[in-house]
Amino acid sequence: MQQKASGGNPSPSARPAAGERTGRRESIYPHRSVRALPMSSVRLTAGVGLALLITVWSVWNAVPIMETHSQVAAAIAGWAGLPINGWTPIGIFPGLEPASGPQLAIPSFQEVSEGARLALVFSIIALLLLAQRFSLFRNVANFLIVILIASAVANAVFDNFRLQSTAFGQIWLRQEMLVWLILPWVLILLFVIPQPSVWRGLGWVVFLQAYGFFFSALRMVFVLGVLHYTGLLFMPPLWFLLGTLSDLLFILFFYSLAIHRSSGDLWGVRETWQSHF
Amino acid sequence: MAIPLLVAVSYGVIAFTVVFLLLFAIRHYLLGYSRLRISRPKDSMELVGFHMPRVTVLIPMHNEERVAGDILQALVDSDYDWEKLEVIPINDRSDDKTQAIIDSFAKRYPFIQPLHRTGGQSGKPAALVEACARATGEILVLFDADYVPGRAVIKMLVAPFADPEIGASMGRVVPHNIGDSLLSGLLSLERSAGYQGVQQSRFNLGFTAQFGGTVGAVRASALESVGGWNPQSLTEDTDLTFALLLNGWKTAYVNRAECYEEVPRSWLVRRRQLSRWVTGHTECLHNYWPDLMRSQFLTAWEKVDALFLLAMYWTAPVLVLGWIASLLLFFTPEAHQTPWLPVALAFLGYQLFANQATFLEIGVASMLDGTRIRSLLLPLNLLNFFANTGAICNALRKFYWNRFWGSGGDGWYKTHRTRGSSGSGGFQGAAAGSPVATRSARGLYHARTQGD
Amino acid sequence: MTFLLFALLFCAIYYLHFSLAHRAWRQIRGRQSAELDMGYVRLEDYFGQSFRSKMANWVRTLPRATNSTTGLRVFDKGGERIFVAGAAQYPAGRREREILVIEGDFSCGRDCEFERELMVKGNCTIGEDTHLQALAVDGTLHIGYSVRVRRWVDAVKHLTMNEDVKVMSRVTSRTSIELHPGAQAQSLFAPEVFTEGRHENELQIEMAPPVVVQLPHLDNRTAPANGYDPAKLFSMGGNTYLYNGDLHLSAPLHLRAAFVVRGNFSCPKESLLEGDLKAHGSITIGAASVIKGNLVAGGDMTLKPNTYFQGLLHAGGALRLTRGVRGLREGLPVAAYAGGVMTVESNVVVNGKLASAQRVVAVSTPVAWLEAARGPAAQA
Repeated sequence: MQQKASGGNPSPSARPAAGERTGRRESIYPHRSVRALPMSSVRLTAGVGLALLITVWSVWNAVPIMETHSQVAAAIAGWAGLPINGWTPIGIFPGLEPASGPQLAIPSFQEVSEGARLALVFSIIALLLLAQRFSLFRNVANFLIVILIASAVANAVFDNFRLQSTAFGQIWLRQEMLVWLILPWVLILLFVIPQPSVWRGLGWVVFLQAYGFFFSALRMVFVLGVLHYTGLLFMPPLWFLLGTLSDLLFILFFYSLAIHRSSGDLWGVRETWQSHF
Repeated sequence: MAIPLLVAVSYGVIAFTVVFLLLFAIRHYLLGYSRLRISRPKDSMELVGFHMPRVTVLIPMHNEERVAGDILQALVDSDYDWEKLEVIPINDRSDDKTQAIIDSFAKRYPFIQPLHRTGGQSGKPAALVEACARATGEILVLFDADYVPGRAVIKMLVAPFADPEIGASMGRVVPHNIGDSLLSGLLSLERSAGYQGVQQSRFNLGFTAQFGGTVGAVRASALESVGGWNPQSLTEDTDLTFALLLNGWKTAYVNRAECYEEVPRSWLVRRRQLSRWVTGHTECLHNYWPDLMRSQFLTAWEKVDALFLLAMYWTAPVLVLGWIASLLLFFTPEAHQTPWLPVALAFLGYQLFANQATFLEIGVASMLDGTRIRSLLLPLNLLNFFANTGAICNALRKFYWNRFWGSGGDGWYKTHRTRGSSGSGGFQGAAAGSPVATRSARGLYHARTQGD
Repeated sequence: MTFLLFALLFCAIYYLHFSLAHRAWRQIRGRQSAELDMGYVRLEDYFGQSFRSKMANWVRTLPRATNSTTGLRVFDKGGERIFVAGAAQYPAGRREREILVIEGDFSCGRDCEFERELMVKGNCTIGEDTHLQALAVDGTLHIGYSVRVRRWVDAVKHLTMNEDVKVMSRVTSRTSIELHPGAQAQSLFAPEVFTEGRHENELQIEMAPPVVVQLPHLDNRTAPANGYDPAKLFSMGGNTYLYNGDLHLSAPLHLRAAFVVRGNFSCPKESLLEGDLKAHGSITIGAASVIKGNLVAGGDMTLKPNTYFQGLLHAGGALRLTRGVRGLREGLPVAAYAGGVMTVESNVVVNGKLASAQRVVAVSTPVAWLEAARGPAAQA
């Protein structure tokens, strides 16, 4: 008969006073049903403080941040071989100095090549196949197919369904700027307050804020490139996949890493799990 | 005129979506944090083994030859006093070897009292109604046929009944077939968040836990006082939770009473399971919310919590409504002139679409459970999120359509078992050397019955 | 072409966000969860039993160290050693760094220190102010004043915990545990757990109350009396009743059903509780009462002198078992649990378990208490 320590009863873990004699083990590792990670005011204060700092700094430096974003995007566009004709000032938010928007030709539906239209058809077929093969992906695939078809119809029917690259840059920057303002608060809720290490948590927040900035520039250039070569046909699904969904994706990716790391750390640290008496 | 109206309505829908889902997101955050910080969970583990009333175990079965032997053997191995134990396997018109397996156990162990059903209404709730009439236990313990309870689970489930206010208790289900498919791996994360996170947290905050109908126990007198199982309900467990609550009974959650279950490995099975849950749950919402609001046994916070619980499946169509509104805005060039468009999209993206709060619960549960490798699957859970959203919307559409036109809804659908089928490898969940693993692994069990 | 390469690079970067998930999935594919211990059963004296069984295995299988002599066998166990000796007496102030197994009787003087586990196969006496890691004894065990045990204590025969002994985890005995004032532990389990003074005469309590409140009393047209208001009573079904509010009875109670009080509850002396009782707040049971069901309190619980309980006690807050309380029943041990501190006065006998999320502490019955209990005005 196999027996285990009574999981519901974490043994005491009182820390000895300085100079007091100690035994080799202070406690039994508690069963998972009774584990806990007590909230710490240090983590809460540090997290809120950092989020506030980043938000205030971002609001204060909104224009330079957006300018830098445009410069980074310009550099990436250069490496990607996109024929950007220059950057023109665009108003992002009322009351703020304008930032720069890219000037890149986006063809209308009538101007796009046959290749782009074929790509649309192939994309739909590919999505159908994916939906058949991976049932878990079916809903996303179906949704993408619907908006691809809707996009094709809107492009074909409405002549005024046009978008300049500067206007696209404007929408993108407005959205991402809002994301960067919300991001630190979401990050402290996931990476600082509920994690055992406050310093690592703060490190994650700073790193992910920067990562979000560069990832946004990269995505924007990719979407601009696709728009340049295929018009607005793919814009709705790209907006869906590479807009805020991608912001969520990178947060989830790094959150899973943080959880993985914390789980490993906590496994060996009995004291962290337990309250003292 | 039409276009500005469309834009205005779309903004209105997005605003509603944001507020509605933000409330749920806040709830998720509060429950996640609350679970993480519980240093002394409400539990009755210290009373385990000291409260030993007569117990009847009910196991509804329909064509369960793949799993029937495992659960019956596990119950034989249980450390509950056989003198106070009665096991009723309910064979509901099986046409495979289920009856033979049950009878072979009943022959050897007198506390196993099979009920072979050949007529009457089909489905689990109806089977339970018939079995309860024969049960002699003060406490009725329920397991699904594919579950494999550990040796001490019955004692743990029964201990909370020392409290006269407890009408039902609920244990934790742990998927054993985590590697059967990506879906089963992702569902194991969801289950972990649901039990380790939400159930424990809600119970500790003084809210009633949700009775799950499996790995649970119910006081026979409490069940009788609310009129027994509702055979019309697709989720008789949720129905019972709220029927008990309205009569002043509470449901306890026992986080330590862990039991293996088999989660769906294919999306088709999962979609049907989800559809049944959504229909039954939403039915309960419509049946119980007026009485819940008027109840004099519940505090204001308990009422709010109950409403959130009952309305949880509404989040999916509200979310989709938000997506549709944002798409309409996207395809309306007039809307692009206003700076509110990205504001709306960003908020929608963050508060609703993202709905990261549910991922926080998964993260919290993974940390507490120490499931390191599986926690890395989190980004792929986005697929599960989309798949669930679609399935829930579809189920709700059917439910309201049937309700509106008065046509019959979905029937009771039995979740397909894959244990023992080729490729799934049988049940090997117990630790190596554990007596249950040795005695009830499918291969050994079959070797024994063949010998019989 | 350049953009095509960039697009491929972009897709690769995008995939990186799923790469670890993909890798994790490949690692778990085809595997089954082994996270549950299906054979787990709860044993109150698990620590002692487990240690004895491990020790027997180690002594049988581990290599013997070269410095073993006839009187002392030494086994190497990884980074630590096991000393096995016959009967022994340690002088005061001795410090032992190794696991010690004594095959006869053992005693130690005051102020010793055992950094690792101690196992004694005979009788054992631990000198005052000694510090131990954990202790398993097959005979009787006498723990001296102010001894500290960082983990558990388990004895087969009678176990005495003297004044101010502190055991940070569980104390178990297969025979009995005797607690002296100031002794404390997280939980105590034995066929008989008692505090000092159990052989003294029981306190004399006046008998025969004039009025008895019978619950459930279902006629809600009756006027409130003796602190009980029938209008606040609701049936939950199943012979269980809910009382919406505080219930402080001024006449002895005869409870014949399961009862839930959404508030605080108290009843006077010589009440008879045949059904289970729960109060969301505190519970105070009057002296010389008989409790046949279980008692559950969301807050504190007090059992006044000479109360006799036959079921389980579960208090969310502090629990006080006053002088003369008895807990026993036929066939199954009783148990009392407190989320807060459990205080056990003199002359308390419980056949079963006393446990607390914080600590169970034995105290002397305060003189004031004794006087109050003897006085005619303190019967409630």
